[in-house]
Amino acid sequence: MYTEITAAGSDILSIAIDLQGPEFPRPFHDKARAQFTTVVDAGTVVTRTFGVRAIPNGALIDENGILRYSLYGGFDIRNPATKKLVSGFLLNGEVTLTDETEVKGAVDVASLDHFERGLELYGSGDFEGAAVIWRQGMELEPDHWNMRKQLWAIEHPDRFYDGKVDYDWQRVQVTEGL
Amino acid sequence: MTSIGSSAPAIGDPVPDFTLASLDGVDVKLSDYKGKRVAVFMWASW
Repeated sequence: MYTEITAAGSDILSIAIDLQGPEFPRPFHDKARAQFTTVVDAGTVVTRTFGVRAIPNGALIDENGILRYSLYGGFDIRNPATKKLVSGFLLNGEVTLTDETEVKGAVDVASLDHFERGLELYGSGDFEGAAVIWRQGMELEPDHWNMRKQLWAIEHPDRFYDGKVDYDWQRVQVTEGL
Repeated sequence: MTSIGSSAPAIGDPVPDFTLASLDGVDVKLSDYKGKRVAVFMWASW
């Protein structure tokens, strides 16, 4: 499929949002035997560029750098409507929306300053300070999932990096307001 | 307070260029894809 995509003059860019660095997303990229490029955002480039605070996201950008479609949050290429839309764009340049096609655009990220200040502290090795700032940010903006999950990943690495991501544990955290 | 929602591109707007390093440490710019249609997928290991 990737060969068809590139033959049609298109490409795929995968962005992993992992502040811990490339060693964490690399196994997922390798397991998928992905032929396209994966880059890593260990900061707020994606947040600032696209206006997002959650993943997974998809954006379709045309030959001139124009945004033609976005689904920020809940993007799943396995969804038949999404797959049809993305392949239609990459292979034929068409963006055909149907009743089943979900569209979500940029949002205001109210806690961006908290996210960035926490990243600075985290980068300097002050994990506790980063956690304090991020918790303040989450009170301001509970839906900033990228910040919330980075905090969880630091405080509970066993729930993320011990063989698999423990999504049941994450659901309990949300239910209990943690 | 920084607010970016209103400055982020809506459908029909140009997407600002950015640079991020690949898994192999090579800088990749969005503008490297100029002239191509590109699907950008954003995800995380967590």
